[in-house]
Amino acid sequence: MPTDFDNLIRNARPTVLPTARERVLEHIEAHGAVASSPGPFRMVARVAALVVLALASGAVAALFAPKPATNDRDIAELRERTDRLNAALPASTLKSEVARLESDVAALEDRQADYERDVLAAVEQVIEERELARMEQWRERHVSYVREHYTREAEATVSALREELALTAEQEVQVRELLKEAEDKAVALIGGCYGKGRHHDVHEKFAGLASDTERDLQALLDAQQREQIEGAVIVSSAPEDWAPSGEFRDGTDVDVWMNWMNVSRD
Amino acid sequence: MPGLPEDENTAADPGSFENLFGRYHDAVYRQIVLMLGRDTAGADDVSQETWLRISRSLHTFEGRSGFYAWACRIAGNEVKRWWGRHKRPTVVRDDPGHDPREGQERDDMVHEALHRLPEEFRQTLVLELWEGLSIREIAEAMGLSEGTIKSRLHRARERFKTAWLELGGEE
Repeated sequence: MPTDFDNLIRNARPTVLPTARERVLEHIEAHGAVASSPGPFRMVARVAALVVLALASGAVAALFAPKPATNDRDIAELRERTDRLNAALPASTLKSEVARLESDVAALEDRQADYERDVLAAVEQVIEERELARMEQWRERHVSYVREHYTREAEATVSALREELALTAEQEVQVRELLKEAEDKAVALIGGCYGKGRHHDVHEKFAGLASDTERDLQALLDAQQREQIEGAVIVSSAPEDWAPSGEFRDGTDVDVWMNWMNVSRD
Repeated sequence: MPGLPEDENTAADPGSFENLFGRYHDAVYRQIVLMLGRDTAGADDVSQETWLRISRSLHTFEGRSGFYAWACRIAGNEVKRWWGRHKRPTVVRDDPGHDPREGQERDDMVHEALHRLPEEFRQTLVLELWEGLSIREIAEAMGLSEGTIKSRLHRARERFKTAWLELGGEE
């Protein structure tokens, strides 16, 4: 039969003699300990100790002091900050200051618009100046070419006329001056084409130059000489013939030629 | 179930010394007996010193544990002091064929088996089986939850059975 351990333990329960309690109480009384009703005394002592601690730490004052709600405290703090700000900068001052700042902002906006216009104009001016400088460079190059090239052509023309028409010395000088005058007119015409925009009358101007030069040359000749040069081209009326074209060897001259073709195009 | 006696005059203040003494004297006394063995005179001395110390230091008891557990710790310290002043008895069994199932021998074996239990298991088990306290009352006396008490009781029984068998008891 298995052992009933609970019952085994219960049966081993020690007996406590009734005198045991009495001896304990007598022992306590003999040693003068607080054996009766210590609870209230402890309570009073604890309360007294708490009161002393609370007084020392100011906790009592904090407990009984009116505690504003969190919102009230925040509002009070905000009011105080507002008063301080008003004292430093009154509202009227702030309004005038705001008006002044708005005016400054408007002026700055106007100045900004002017500034943007000025910058744009300056940029355009710089671009134009650079373009003009480049055009001037091309013009000088072109004129230099014409002076050099046409002078040689003019001498060749004078030599040919001298041989074919038996020009007198006086006629030779007059023809040379005439061709020089045509050269100057052509140079002036070319120089006038370096600038803004296209020049649609370039062909007409060169045609007029050629016609005028031919007419003036015939006026210098006698009737026989005029018959002999009938149909000959003394001065070209085509603008492209006054261009450097293939004789240029560097990039600058190519640009000059391209620009001249563009300017003189019909 | 007998339960712990309650002093009618001090029932209004359950924390009073009189009330605590009335309720827990016998339970603490039996714990002292378990710790001391069969020496009744020694148990009386230790009990007196234990309650004297309790009366002097009750104001320091803050209720973080149950009063019974607190009182048993004080009693345990008093038992150690008592053993410091007295010679420990040597248990000699000169009759290897004795039957522990009868009388005082059997009770001594039960006490010895209980003494081998961890303190918290022993206290819980004897509060139920000797003092007749309910789970709720044990929880209050020990200052623990009822779930903890149930768990401790279960494990205390297992430990007691092991200790009993180790001492030569029958299963």
